This record gives sequence, C-alpha cells and structure tokens, in this order.
Amino acid sequence: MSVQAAVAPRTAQKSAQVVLEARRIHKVFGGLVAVNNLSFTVYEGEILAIIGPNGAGKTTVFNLLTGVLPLDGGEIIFRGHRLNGLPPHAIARLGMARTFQNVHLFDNMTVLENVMVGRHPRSRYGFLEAALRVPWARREEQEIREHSTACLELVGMADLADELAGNLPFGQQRLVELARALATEPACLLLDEPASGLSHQEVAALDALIRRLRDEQGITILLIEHDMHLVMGIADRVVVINYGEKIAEGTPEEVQADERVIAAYLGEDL
Amino acid sequence: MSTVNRKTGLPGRFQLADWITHHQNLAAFLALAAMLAILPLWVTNNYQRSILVFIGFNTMLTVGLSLLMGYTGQISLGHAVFFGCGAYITGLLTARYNWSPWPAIVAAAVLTGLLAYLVGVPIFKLRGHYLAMATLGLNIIFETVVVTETGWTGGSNGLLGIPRLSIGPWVLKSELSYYYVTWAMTLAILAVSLNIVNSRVGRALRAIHASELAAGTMGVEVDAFKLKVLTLSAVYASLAGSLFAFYLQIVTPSSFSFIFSIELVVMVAVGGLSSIWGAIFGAASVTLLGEALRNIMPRLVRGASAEAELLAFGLILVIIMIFMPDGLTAGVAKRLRARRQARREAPGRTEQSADAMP
Ligand SMILES: Nc1ncnc2c1ncn2[C@@H]1O[C@H](COP(=O)(O)OP(=O)(O)OP(=O)(O)O)[C@@H](O)[C@H]1O
Ligand SMILES: [Mg+2]
Repeated sequence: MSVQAAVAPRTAQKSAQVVLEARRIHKVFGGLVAVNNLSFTVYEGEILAIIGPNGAGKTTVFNLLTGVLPLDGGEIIFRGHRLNGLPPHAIARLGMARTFQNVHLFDNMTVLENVMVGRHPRSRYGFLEAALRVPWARREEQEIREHSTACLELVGMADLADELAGNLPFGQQRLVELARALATEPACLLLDEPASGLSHQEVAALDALIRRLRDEQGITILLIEHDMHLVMGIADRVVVINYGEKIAEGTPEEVQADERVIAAYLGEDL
Repeated sequence: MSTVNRKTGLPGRFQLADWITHHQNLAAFLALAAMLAILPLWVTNNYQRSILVFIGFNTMLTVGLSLLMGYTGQISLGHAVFFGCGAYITGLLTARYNWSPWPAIVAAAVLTGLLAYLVGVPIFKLRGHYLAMATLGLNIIFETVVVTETGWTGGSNGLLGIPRLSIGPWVLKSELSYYYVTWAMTLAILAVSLNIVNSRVGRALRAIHASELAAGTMGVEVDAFKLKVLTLSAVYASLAGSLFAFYLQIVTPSSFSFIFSIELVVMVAVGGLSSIWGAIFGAASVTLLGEALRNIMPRLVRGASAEAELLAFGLILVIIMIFMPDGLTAGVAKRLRARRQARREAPGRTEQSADAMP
C-alpha cells in the first residue's frame, strides 16, 4: 500500500489510479442550487482538499458522495462502481468512510463500542449467529474488538475506550469519530472540517495523523477545511468551490495565486 | 493490534474482562433459572401460579418490545396484535383444523413474523415515527377482523375448544406444567436476546437508535435491521400468544386490546428502555400491579373496571416519562455504574457492557 502512496502525490499523480470521480454532479434544495454540475477526480493516495466560503456546498458534496443525499444530476464513480442510487451502507462497504462537520457519535455507547460499529461493514455475523453465539461469530467479535482497539490507539484514544462517547469534550469526540471511520478500513476517507474546534497542538497532531494515514495505510483523503494553514501544508491538490461551482483546481500554490479564488475569499487571509 | 494492557503491560486484559463479564451474566441467568425452578415450592396456590405464568407471557412480550423500542428506538403500539395473532392462529389451527400443537406454534410464529415484516417494509422506507401510527392502526384492524369474522374467530364470544398443549405423549394439564413450559420458553428468549444485544447486531441496533445517519454511513443496513428486529419481536409475541391459547383453551378479543398494547409499553418503560434484565422486572411489577389494581379498584371506586386500570397505567407512564425518561430501572443502573466508576482505580476492572451470555 505504501508503495502506491509514495508514487501518487504531487509529481506522479496523473499516472496514479483514479479512485473517485464526480461527473457533473448536481444538487438543488428548493430553489437553491447547492452543487452545480461539479466535476472532479481523486487519485489514489492523494490528499485532496475541498475549500470554499461558508455555504459553498462542500458538505453537500460529501453528502452526495456518501449517499446521504440523492443526486439530482450527474454520476459518481468510485473504484469502478457507479454510486448513483446506492444507500449509504452499500457505499461504506465499497470503502468510503466519513466524519461529520458537527460530529455524529453514538452518544449512548462507549468510545470502543462506537468504533466497533465502524467494523460493521467488515464483519458478517447476523441475528442468528449472534443469538446462538456460534464459534465463528465469537471469533469475528474478537477480531472486531482487536481491530477497533488498534484504531483507537492510532488516534491516541485507547485510554478512554470505556467512557461514554457523549461525555467527551468536542475535540476528543472528533478523534473517536475518525477512529470509527478508520475501523471501516476505507480506501477513501472524507473529513469534514476535522480541525474546527481544535487547539493549536491538536491541529498539529491531526496534521501528522492525516499524513500517516495516507503514507502508512495508503488511504486516499478528501479534506474539507477552513484552516488554510493546515490545508496549504498538507494537500496535494485543492479544489475550490463557490456557489456549488468549481472555480479553481490545482496545487496549493496555484490555487492561492488564482484571481477568482482571491475574489471569493475577499478580505480573508489565504 | 495487540490486546496488551496499556496500564499494566500485562497481555490479554480484554480476554480476562470478557471472561468475567460473561460469567457474571451466566451466573445471573442461572440464578434466575434456579430461582424459577424452585419457586413453585413456595408458590403453591393455583391463582398465584397463574400470575407467574402471565408474568412469563408478559416477559416474552416485553423483551421483544425492549429490543425494538429500547435498543432500536422504534415505537410499536401494536404488540398486543402480534400476541393476538399468535393466539388466534394457534387456536384456529388446533381447534378447527386439528393440527398438533407444535406445528401450530411454528406456523403461528411464521405467519405473525410475516405480518410484522409486511407492515415494516413500507413503514421503514419513511423517516420518523410512522411505525407507532401504523401499529396503532393495526390494533383497530385486528379488533375489527376478530369481532366480525365470527365464522373463524368466534367473534366476541371467543374461539373455543383449543386443546391442551402436549409434549410427545405428555399432555399438559396442571398449572405447574404450564408454569414450567412458559418459563422454559421465556428463558430461551431471554438468553437469545441477551446474546443479540451484546453482539455486532446489538451495537448496530443501538447505533440506529442514536443516529441513523451515522449508522448508515458506517455501513449498518438501517432499514434491514429495523425490519429484522420488528419481525423478531413479533415472533416472540406470537410464541407467547401460542402458549396463552393452550393455557386458557379459549381466546377472546378483549385479551388483545389496545389497552394491552399500552400496558406492554408501560412494562418496557418501567423496566428501563434498553435493558433486557429490566424487561423482566417491568413485566413482573406491572403484571402484579395490574392484578392488585383489579382487586383493589372495584372496592375503592364502585363499578370501576378496565377504564380505571387504563387510567392507572396511563398515569404511571406519564409520571415515568416526565421524571425518568430512560425508565424506572435506569436510575438504579446509573447508581451502580457510578459505584463501578469509584472502583476504577482497582486493577482488573470490567468493562461497561453488562449483559452477555457465553
Ligand atoms: N439538507 C438541506 N436542505 C436544504 N438546504 C440545504 C441542505 N443542506 C445544505 N443546504 C444549503 O445548501 C448550501 C450549501 O450548504 P453546505 O452545508 O454544503 O455548505 P458548506 O460549504 O459545507 O458550508 P460550511 O463551510 O458553512 O460548512 C447552503 O446554502 C445550505 O443552507
Ligand atoms: Mg460544511
């Protein structure tokens, strides 16, 4: 995995494999066009940032990619599968995982149990096997527990495994959500403003963690983020959207020099 | 990937914790089974034994409803109907078509499960508490069908002539034999349900309850799981209904009224919404309370009957929901958890999850 990760970013991206392709995707809420014929391609092993002003349609793009919202037009191809019309759980099974801008943990469950739910698409035993506690279900349960604990260790939350998720401070909830997404063994991980609400040190740790996920596990990462320092440092490429339309695409340097981007962010520090 | 304890550096902490937890629950289960086995030594009068049988029926119903409502967050106001389907189908097949008891029990469970499934398929496509409304309607349909289709059901006079339950050549006649059969079935349902809630499936159900959005994007087949748990709870209800039919040898519509659907919801609420053990407690305490009310109310209020009972249960439900929205036993559980937290510093602490059967 790490071999591809090493060749994919920046220099060799065009020769890398396409993981995800959004083709003229479109979404309308009432009269509001939230995503407007947007197309972009994500290559294996890259970190692609999606930026844009508030209300630009970034989160809506994630909702379309993960099947949370139905498309009003266009199509999405993920690892050779057409995602149009697939329910969220089927897309998760294909290797897409996400976190949420406003954190959706299972508050009534412990931290470890939350992450164990993330193992759901990578395990199989159902009602009957659970009811009878058949040996292979118990083995699978063991695997679920071990893998989930490893994911918690990766984000540095293993010590709080038995805490109720709802009781944690916001920053730690974000990490649990990330661990839960990792437990699904995603090929592609969508992070929606993971740095918001984090302290300086926490953002630095997140930066390092995201790089590790890409470099060591070969996970392709889509990142929505308002923290421009983080984005410009970590992203291989950046897609800028405004009013649901793509206004620029390129390396962080290219995007920062783009006039339309500067206009969209007028008054803000890029 | 290792399970090495981060605090002590000892390997295998999780296996040890598992071992302790599982055996705690096995111990609780065996203690309950043993207690039930010898209870008739003290409870010798037939009236009291019949109350124990009814607590068994209500426990089967409440455990299923707890899986559906407490764990998955889907409200059913029609579980009396699934109970009634089990009773009527079993009664019909044995009394009218001379089926032997056990095939009739299985057929009733399959048909009742199918009914729940067919109700669930369109309902779970919609978001929101449509299941509550649909199952509310189910009560009305059931009552209408049972009262009007007199040729099949005997109408409000009831379906008569249901034979005794038999196991091989052994025909169950005594109160005591129904007590044991009912509680054997109840314990089986209990064991199966404890296993389910402490598994991948149980986590998925609780995840659906907490956030359907997050559960779906984590790969949980939300609609399918709701459908399966609804069907399972209906099958439990049907099994209870089958035994009920053999026990009374007559089924009348009044046993499966909307009032009873509500009473079941009260049992789940009293037991603590998401607790399998609490479901037994809720079933037992509400059954006993109902029995007490039936005896006391007519003395307090002349002519008081079903309405007074409904009023009392309504009041209990309102009070519980206002003061203890997680159910009556949740308060006790919270206190226990706090005490466990105090013991956290001690080595070999067990994990949070409570009920599991090996
Ligand atoms: N479910 C919905 N129903 C109606 N309108 C919606 C819905 N979701 C988003 N919108 C609207 O679509 C537009 C894009 O919203 P979106 O959340 O995608 O923006 P965003 O780029 O993520 O913004 P932010 O940076 O503030 O998170 C907004 O005007 C928003 O109000
Ligand atoms: Mg957003």
